[in-house]
Amino acid sequence: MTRLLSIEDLAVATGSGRPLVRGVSLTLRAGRILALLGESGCGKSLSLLGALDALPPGLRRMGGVVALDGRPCAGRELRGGIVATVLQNPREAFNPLLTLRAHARETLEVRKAEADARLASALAEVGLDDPAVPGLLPGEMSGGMLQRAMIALALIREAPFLIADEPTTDLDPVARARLMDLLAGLRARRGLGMLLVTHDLGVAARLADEVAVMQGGRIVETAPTARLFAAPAHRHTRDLLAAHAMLCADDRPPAKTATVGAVA
Amino acid sequence: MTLLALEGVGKSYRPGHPVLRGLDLAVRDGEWLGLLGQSGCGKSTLARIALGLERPDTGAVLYRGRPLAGLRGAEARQARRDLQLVFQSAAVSLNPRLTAGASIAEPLRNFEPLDRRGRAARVAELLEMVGLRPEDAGKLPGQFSGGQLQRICIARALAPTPRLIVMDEAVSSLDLVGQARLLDLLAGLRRSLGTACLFITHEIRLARRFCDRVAVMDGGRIVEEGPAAGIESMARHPAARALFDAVLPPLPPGMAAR
Repeated sequence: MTRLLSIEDLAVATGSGRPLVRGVSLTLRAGRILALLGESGCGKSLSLLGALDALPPGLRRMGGVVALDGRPCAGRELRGGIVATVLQNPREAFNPLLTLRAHARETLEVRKAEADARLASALAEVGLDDPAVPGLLPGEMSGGMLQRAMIALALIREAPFLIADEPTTDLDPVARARLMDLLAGLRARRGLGMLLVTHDLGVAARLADEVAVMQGGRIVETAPTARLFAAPAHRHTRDLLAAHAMLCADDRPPAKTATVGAVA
Repeated sequence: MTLLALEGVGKSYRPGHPVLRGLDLAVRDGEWLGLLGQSGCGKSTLARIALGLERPDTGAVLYRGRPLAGLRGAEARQARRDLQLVFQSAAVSLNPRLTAGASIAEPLRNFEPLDRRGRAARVAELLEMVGLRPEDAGKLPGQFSGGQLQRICIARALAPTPRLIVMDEAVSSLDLVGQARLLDLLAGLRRSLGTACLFITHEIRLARRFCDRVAVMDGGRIVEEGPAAGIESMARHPAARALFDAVLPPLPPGMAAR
């Protein structure tokens, strides 16, 4: 059983050599959730795509080693069987003309009956146990359902690691809470190692064992979640925590209260 | 005084499947009202009806106490000017072939008796108001980031000096820090302009921080309404409770809140 997936000193650059991601090192462990935290455009998604050799055209991986239990391997060996990926916008990740069942058959390349059985059990695990679901087209499902369906498809390959890129961003709070419960359950039941890309410190607080903070294409701090919240070392982490605390504060800031009074 | 009121508004797109059922909601002058609810509960339908872009099947929308649908001539024109909307996706609500300046000037052309030079000056002023530079007027949408595009949309909505801006998930595509920054900017504009806002969101943390009052929608009705501060503890309706209980924790488990 694979226990450790490590990314060491990864770099990504444009075709003309302009660096976008530099010196990124991340370690995923079985049964642990690592949150990769940062603002839009800081290089979170590019780091993942770089590690999996799935960069968009025009970008190049400039170095770095990805290793499974210490054995270096290429990104294409990892995709699907070792590392399952769940993307931010599930609607774009599905073929709109294929049912969920057809997606599963294509993914597994085994006998149809076996693919259908494995899909049914994965769908039950993500809470989509209605027998009509495998026959649905992506357009017939809500965003929350699609996100669960994508996780089910990720599970049927029985990959030991799951990378989820902003999986909760487009969901309403109730759907988001259900999805996070689901991820926590998968970690507990299957011992999945997860990398959870997010810009929301609340998501990290709810689920992560460890947090890596990214800024301007570099990891600026990595720490166990509780320590990161209690004693952030890097200035950028402190800024993110301050913005988070401001949003989470129950009492309203004095400036705002004054405004309300003035308007009323 | 009440700026905009929806009274007993009902709407269905398919017979037997009402989206709104006898909904009542009022926004006061200068007030920021947060409208919360799960995906698919009818928030966007409410927004379109509130602005007169769609007619309700039953009930009425009142603008300053008078039916919006019954306004004619100069009054209808004034209402169109006073009520502005910012959509969720900035990228698709800007014409990719128009410069930022041309997009922002569009409502000015419709509503302000300005000459070319006057419009350019007002566009520059609006760009600065939303934290962009006057030189940005000459750029095309493709040259801006998502957050900057959303600022351009807000500048365009502010151009005719509206009394109410409806933000339909207008900042949801930005990261949380970006959303808070943009809303901070709007809160500043509110202080100087006194513009009211119907802030439609599913991000309770933002509604709590930036709104005076919060209303929760479920099954085509408002099921909970109250001051933004303390709404979570007061909520009784199961749909409202489900929303508030789903708010992410501020701190990891085991760490006490400060």
